[in-house]
Amino acid sequence: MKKLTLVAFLFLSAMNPALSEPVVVIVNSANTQSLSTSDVKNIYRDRTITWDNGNKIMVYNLPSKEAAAEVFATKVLGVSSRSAAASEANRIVTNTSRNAQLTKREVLVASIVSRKPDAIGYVHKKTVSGKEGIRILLTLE
Amino acid sequence: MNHVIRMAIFSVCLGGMLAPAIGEAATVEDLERRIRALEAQIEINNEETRDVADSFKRGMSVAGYTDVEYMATNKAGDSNGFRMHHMSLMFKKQVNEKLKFFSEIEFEDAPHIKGSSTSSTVAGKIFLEAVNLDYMLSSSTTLRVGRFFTPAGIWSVDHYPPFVATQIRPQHIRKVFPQLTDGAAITGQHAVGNTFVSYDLFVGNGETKAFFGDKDYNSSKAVGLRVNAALPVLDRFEVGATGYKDKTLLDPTTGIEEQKSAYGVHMLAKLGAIRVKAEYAKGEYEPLPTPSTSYTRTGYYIQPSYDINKWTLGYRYDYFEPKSTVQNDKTRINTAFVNYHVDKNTVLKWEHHLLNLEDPAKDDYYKSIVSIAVNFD
Repeated sequence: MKKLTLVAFLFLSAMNPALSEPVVVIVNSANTQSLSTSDVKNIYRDRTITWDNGNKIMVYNLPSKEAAAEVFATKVLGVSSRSAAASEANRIVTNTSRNAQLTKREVLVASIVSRKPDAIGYVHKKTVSGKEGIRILLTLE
Repeated sequence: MNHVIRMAIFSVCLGGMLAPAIGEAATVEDLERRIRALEAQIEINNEETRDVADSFKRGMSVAGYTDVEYMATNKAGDSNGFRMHHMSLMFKKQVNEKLKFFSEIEFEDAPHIKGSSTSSTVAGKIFLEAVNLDYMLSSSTTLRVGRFFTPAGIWSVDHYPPFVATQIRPQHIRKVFPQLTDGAAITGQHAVGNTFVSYDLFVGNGETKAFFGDKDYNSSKAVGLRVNAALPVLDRFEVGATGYKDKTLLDPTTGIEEQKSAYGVHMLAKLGAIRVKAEYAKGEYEPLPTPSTSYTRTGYYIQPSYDINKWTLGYRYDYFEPKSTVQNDKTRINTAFVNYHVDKNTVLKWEHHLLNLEDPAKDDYYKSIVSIAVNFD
C-alpha cells in the first residue's frame, strides 16, 4: 500500500511540477528568531501567537487548493491542507481562535512578509528567489 | 557592373537596416524580462489594492452554517423525513486590538412565527446561543463576558455540524455539563516545556429550565474549570479534565434546589490517518433539603475514525445513564458513520445509530441519517 502511495505521489509530482517544487517557510529579514518545524506547527495550530519580542504574529496561509498549501500542511502540520483549513474554520466558528490566520495568494504573501516584520508565511521557493526583505526559515522538499 | 554596384548598395542598405535590430536582440530579452517583472508587480499591486479595499469593508463580519438532513428510523411513532435542522448566523467584530465581539443566532427546524389577535403559530426555535465580548488581558490570557458555550470536554465547544462527524451528538453532551453559561470566563494558554496547557475558569448563572438572560434564577453561582494539555507525542495528543459545581433552583414555589457537582475527562489523539476522540462525564445531584434522593448521571463515548483522502470512516460507542436511582434507564448506542469532505467548509454525512435500550418495556431501534452541512466563513 505504501509503495502504491509513493508511486502515485511520484506520478502526480511528475505530472504536476508545482507539487515537486520546494516550499519555503518565510519571515521578514528583520526577524532574527529561529524556529523549528515544531515551532511553526505551534504557530499554525494557534498555540503560539507572539514572537519572542512580544509582538503578535501575523500568520499567512495560502488557499487550501494551492499545491504549496498541501506540501506545507502535510509536512509541517501532519494533515491535509483541507483538514488544516477546516480546523482554522472550526476555531473561527467556535470563537476559540486566538490569532486568526489570513489567507492570501502566494505572490501577496511574499510581498507582505517582505514588508511586515511580524509576518510569517509559506510560498514556493521560486516566488521569493532574489526577493529582498525575506528570510527563509525552513525548506520543505 | 551595374548589377555589382546595385548589389553592393543593396547590401549596405540592408546592413544598415538590420544593424539596429541585431543590436536590439539582447534588449528584447531584457524588455521581455522587465515586462514579466512589471506584470508581477501589477499583480501584487492589484492584490494589495484588493487587500486594502477589504480592510475598509471590514465592519461587522457575518459567518454561519446550515445543515439539512433526511432521517429514517424504525422507532415506534416516528416517521422518516427531511429536517431543516440548523441555520446559524454569526456576527463578529474586532472592535479594537484587544476587544472582540462574537454572537450566534441559531434558527433551528426552520422557525415559523405567525400571529394575529385571534391566533398564533410558533414552530421551531430562534435562540441567541452566544453573545460575548473577549478582552485580551495579555498574549496568553483573555477575559470573556456574556453568554458562551460551557467549556467542558470536547464536543460541548467543537460541536458545529460542518466540523463534527455526526448530526446526533453523544448522549451525555449538554446533560451533565450545561450547554451554555451566562457569566464570565478567564481563558489562557501557556507553554510548559513542549506541552501547551490551556484552561478556562468560568463563573455563571448556572442551569435553569430555560435560558433567561435577564437575571440569575439560581441561589448561587455556577463555577467550572476546564484544563487541557496538548502533549508533543503522536501527530496530535490532547488530554484534559473538567470540573463544575452548581446549585439549581428546581421549583421556585417550594424553593427546592439541587446541588450539582460534575467532573469529566477527555482525550483526543491523531496518528497518521487514525483519530480517536473520547469523553467521560459524571454528575452527582443532591436535591436540597432532601439529600436522601441524591443520584448520579454518567455518560461516555469513544469514537475512532480513519481518514482516506476526502473520506472519513468511523465508529462510536456511546453510553448514558440519566439517573442512577432509576432502574433500566441506560442507553447504549453503536454508531457507524461516513463523511465525505467536499472541501474545507462542506461535508456530506451518512450515519447509522443502533440504540439499545435497557428498559425491557421499550424496543430497540435505529436511526439512519444522510445530511449535508455547510459552513460560511
